[in-house]
Amino acid sequence: MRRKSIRLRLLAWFGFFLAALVAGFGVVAFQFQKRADFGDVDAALALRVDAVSRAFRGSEPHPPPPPDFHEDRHHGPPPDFGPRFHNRTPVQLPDEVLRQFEPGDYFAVWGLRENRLLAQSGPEADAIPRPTDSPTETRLRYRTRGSIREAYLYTERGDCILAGRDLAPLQARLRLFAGQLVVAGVLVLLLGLGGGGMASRLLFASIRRIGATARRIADGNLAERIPAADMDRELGELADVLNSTFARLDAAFARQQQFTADAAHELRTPLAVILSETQTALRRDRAPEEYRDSIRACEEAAQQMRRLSDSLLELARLDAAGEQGQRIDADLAQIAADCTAQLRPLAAQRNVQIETDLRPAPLACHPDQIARVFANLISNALEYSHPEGRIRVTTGTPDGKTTATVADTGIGISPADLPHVFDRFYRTSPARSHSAAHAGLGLAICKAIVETHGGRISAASTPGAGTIMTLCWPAAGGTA
Amino acid sequence: MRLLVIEDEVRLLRNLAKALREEGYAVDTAADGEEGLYKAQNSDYDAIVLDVMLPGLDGWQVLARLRKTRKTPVLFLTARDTTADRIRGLDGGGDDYLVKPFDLSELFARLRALIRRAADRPSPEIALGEVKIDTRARTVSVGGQPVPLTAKEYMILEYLAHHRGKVITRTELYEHVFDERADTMSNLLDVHVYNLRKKLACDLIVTRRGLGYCIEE
Repeated sequence: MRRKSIRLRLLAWFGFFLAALVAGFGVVAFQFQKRADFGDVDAALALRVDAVSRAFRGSEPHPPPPPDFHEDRHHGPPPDFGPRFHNRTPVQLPDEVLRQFEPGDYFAVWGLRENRLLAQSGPEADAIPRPTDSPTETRLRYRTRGSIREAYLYTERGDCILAGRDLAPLQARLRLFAGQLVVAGVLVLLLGLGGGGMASRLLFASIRRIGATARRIADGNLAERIPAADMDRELGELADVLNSTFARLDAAFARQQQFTADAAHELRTPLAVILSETQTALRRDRAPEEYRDSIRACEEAAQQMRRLSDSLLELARLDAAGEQGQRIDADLAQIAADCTAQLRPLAAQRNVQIETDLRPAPLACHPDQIARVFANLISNALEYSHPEGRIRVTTGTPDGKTTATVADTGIGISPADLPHVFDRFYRTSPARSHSAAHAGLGLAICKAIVETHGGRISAASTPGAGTIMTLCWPAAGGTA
Repeated sequence: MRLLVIEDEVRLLRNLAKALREEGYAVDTAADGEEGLYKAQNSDYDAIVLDVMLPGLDGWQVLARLRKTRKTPVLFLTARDTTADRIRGLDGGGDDYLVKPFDLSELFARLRALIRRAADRPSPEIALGEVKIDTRARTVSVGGQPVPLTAKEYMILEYLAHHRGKVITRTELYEHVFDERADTMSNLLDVHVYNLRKKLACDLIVTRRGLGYCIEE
């Protein structure tokens, strides 16, 4: 299945946000620049209007210019402007004022009473339409015509003074600026994407490493671990979690492997006996007793294999199904009594005494399985008891918990072996060495049965003094 | 040829000893690692069959300790069949590895091969002039005519033939031909050698007085 790349998606989102940010910044910067430039233009136009206005006021007799206004009067307006106030002709502005005008700037002055153009500059002056709004206030106003910005003022004397500037050069400059902004923005975006790409590559390299290791582990190399030491904290934590999971998997797998290997080993030994017995017997003609011996050895080996396969099957059933069929309300005391009765003859043969202290201990269970547990425990106790030894079986409900114990005065179990006695195929060697009858599954089966029934089994032992096995169900397990 | 079998499954041990004796070997047995190591260190065996899973010392420990003093050929006979186990067995100084369950005939063939290699005689057939020994079938012929030999006679001939060119003391020969169960006098050897010479009808086996016996190259 083709899956979407989270890295590409991250990068796409990152790029999207970065682009929006850069674009927003560019638009704001451009607007600021444009406002500032237009403000400059308006301010300049206002200055022009003011200068033209003052030049025109200077041509009036009243009010006279202040004495300190322009020491050098040679640029001042000609004094003979005055008499023509009511019959003004177009005036020429002084050079000083004209010099302030930049190329593309122009002005025009209309006499409203005369209703004609009094002064003008610039080639387009003829084409300048006179402002048409009402001349009630002597306030500077602005208007925009196409690419042209104009400021105009109705003076108290009834003139209209207008200064204008073609904005085309400014707009060209702004366009250039916008172009520069776009280029810079694209550069920032590319750099950002590159940096983001590298950062995400670093991040995802770690993730890929984790993935690759996990894949190798899944392929069977269960001993491998993700190198978490050189990872960052967040990924390191993930790696630690994965590693501990792998470790538990590995341990479970190793236990299973050990179990299978042990089972194979236990089956192979009697098989080897059968093969080698039969092949030896068949190598030549023999006396009937020799054949009998061989067949007896084969039978023993076959019986051993049968016990082993029964045990393995039982364990497998317990492992797989947990339990099947209906539990019935039973009394451990009754089950223990039956088992003890069955084993008393064997105990008597070995000169071992079985004592019982059986108080009612109700439990919802499969009685035949629980009977199997008692039988295994008591047989074990018998096997490791000295002659004249005692075995004590008790049942009851101390503290409201359904409990049963099987204690012996036998050889005991060493502290090193004690934690493993319920392990499958575990044999306490060499003292309890290899008797062909026991593959080391009896206690493992007991444990599986008790745990299937929701209880716990535990062993306590003093080497040389005896062992006590305890079955215990939590209060809820009983049906009292 | 004298073998030691170390195996804790008593039925298998008993049967292997019987089968190997019927093959003409002198066989000692040990049911655990300690006993096996003691015997292996204190006798000169032609080969040792060693189980791995033993009470007390396991097979690997037995081999590791044995290899400090002796280079007796060792064949591992074990139910442990993983490659790692085989490698451990062979790298630990083992000479061969056979997994249980096994075929007796294969065990015999491997033991024969081990003994041949140890004596530096790779061929299963030995020709000494007129006398030909087939170690596979354990038969001897002189000039093409089969010569019936007893097991002990054959063993003496094969041992001397494997070590031809060397003088074999009577003690060494005795050790390799009789196992721990034997309580015969060592001069029985001379009787076997006498009979062997008579049957072969040639002076193949030379007596070095005061030293022992020898088959010259």
